[in-house]
Amino acid sequence: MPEEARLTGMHLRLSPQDAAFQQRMRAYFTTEFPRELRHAAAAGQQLTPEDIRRSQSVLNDAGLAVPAWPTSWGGQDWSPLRMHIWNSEMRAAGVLPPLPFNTSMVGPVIAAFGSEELKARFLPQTASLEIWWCQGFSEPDAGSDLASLRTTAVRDGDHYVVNGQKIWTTLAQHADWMFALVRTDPAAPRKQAGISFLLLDMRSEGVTTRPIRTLDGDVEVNEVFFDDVRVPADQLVGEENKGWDYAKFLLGNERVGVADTGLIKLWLTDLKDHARQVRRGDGTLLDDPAVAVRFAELEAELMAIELTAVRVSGSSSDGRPDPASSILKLCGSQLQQDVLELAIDVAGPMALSWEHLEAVPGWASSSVPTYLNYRKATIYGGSSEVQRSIVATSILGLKG
Amino acid sequence: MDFTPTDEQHALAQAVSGALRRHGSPASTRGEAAAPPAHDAALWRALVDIGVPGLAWPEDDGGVGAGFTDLAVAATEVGRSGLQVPLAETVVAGSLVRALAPDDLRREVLGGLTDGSLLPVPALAEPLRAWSTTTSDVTATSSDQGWTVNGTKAPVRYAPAATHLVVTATTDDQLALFVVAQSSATTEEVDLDDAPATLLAQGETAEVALREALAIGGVVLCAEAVGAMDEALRLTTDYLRTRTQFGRPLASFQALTHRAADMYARLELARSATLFAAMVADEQPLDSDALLRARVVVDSAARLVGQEAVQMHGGIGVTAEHPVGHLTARLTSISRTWGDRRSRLSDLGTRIADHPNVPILR
Repeated sequence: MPEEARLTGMHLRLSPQDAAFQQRMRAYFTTEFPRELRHAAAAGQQLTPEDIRRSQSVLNDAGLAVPAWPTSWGGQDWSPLRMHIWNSEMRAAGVLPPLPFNTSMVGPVIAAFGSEELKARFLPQTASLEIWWCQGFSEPDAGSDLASLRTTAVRDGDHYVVNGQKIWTTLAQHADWMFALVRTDPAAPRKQAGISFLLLDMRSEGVTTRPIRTLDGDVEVNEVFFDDVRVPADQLVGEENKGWDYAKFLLGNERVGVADTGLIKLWLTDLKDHARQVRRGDGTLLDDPAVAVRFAELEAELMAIELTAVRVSGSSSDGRPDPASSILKLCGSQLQQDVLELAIDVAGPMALSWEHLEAVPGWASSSVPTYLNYRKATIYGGSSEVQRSIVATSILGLKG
Repeated sequence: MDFTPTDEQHALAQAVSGALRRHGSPASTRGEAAAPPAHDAALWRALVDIGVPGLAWPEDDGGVGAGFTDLAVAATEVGRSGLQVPLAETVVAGSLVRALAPDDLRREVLGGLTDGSLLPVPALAEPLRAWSTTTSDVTATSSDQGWTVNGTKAPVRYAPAATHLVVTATTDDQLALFVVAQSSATTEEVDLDDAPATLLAQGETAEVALREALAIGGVVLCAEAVGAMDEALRLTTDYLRTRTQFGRPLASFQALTHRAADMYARLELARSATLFAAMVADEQPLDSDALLRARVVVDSAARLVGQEAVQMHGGIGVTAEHPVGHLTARLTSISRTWGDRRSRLSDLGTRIADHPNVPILR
């Protein structure tokens, strides 16, 4: 009997094939992937945009940038378990995962709903990060109520003319292209019915990007303004006024990405090391039973979320989001914040200065700004409140 | 790693829930208090008839040889039913006997447990002593006639029905484990007065075996809690859909539906942790810390789901005639059985420096 066939039903151990897969991933990420790109990320340094592009291009050459895509466009047809192993090994080795705007968001939408021309034109460069995408969804008056967006696209011959404004556009300052939700039918009976999914070049005339400074002092998000921007009509994805369906598909995948348990595990491992560096009496802060209990609590929670991510894949399929992705987003973002809150307490009095001081390690002086920055985790990608509404209506059938 | 139940496990779940429905009588149907009910011999017999108590034990020891994933499936149905049976208790007592007893006693006890003729349960808690797996005020002494134990164990769940007690006691400043044949207790207080006892183990061996047996029994409790939470959430969402106030269904109030969503999220995390724990329990050497972590996850889910289920039912939720509060009562007990959240977390905390992180893939 082949090995695979014997391992049916509930089982704990990786099959020999999955164990070999895990070894292959580990070997690649720790020995073949460029060392300098891994170490910078592991040391908590920000990679430059050029480094990020190079990192993804290397991954793509190895066939490891877009495993979840259809196989005809570079996907690997892996099980949810293998996807999890891939992410875990990549994170554990300090390798930056591929840019989610490209690989989890716009890529799968183009692959599922785009024309053959669009696929051929965009997918290869999206996988390799030769095109850096940003997400044009939120607007000043369309946050959680995304479908009330007002940026318009009016057909004019072979073009759409786009006017309006997007906000919270992450890394728009580095982006080459934007995938945007635009209103193409203001008279549609339901506001969801008049929205289209449009791809536009950020260098187009009439596009202005303005940075927004966040609490940590960094610039990660932007406002993007459109003033009579002419977008070729062949850059519409799928059908006109069907954009809301594509957006829901995309958001389901975005949610799964947020529960990046590999990243949380990395944080928690580092944080334990930090606690070991802090002296307390004759021992270290990690010997403090109250601190140890908080670590134990977070490790148990992480275990449960990681197991849930393996148990329910959560990815969008058959054109629809899996509502289980909402649990992963809800609980994963909360855990991220809990770990970063513990990080402040581990830093203790050192957390009170954000300045770079010779004697104070960077992890300590950055603990409060990082904590403040990650308040975003329960807001973006559909706030916790939005996720609860999805669970209540789609899973529990609670409709007023 | 795969969490998918087999067809056989679906069939087992159906058989167990059928037996529970036919032979059980939840306290809520009689409007009785949510107190832990006495042993129901007829109900237990019905579960014996379909092989449930023997699932965990190897066939060589007189068991069914199925393992803990199957046992967890059965325990979940018990939790869902609002009924209580000594499944987790017999798993703890049986594990200790299996690990430590001589061959003849092991076969006798595990065989009797499987065929329903014997009911061994652990007798661990002592009055006015915080939960401990290393200390006991019960004393044991040996003489030419063998060992005897003295002291009080209370409460001992299912003591009046039990045929054997697995007892912790102190001898030579060490913890020791004994089997005591029991027939005299009429309440959940067991007074041991020069009771003849069979020594299972002393010192480190006894402590390790006890920790592992309780961790394994904890898997049964986790699975039972998942069933109880499933049912509590089902009752709650049904109620939110059908109960009308202010001229509209409760399901139209976001203040309620968002909390129901949190119940669901915590329950699903608890389910993942429990299925994982059941698979871990079938592996040697036992990773008892993984089982403790599962209990921590289930504890927090059980607290939220139990409390919110009653709250969202309003007044009817605190009445003896409605099943929801009985589930909450059981969830409250499960979390305090063989330690509590505090003791589990501080136990895990003592070993937090031993590993950089917790891998789930094996």
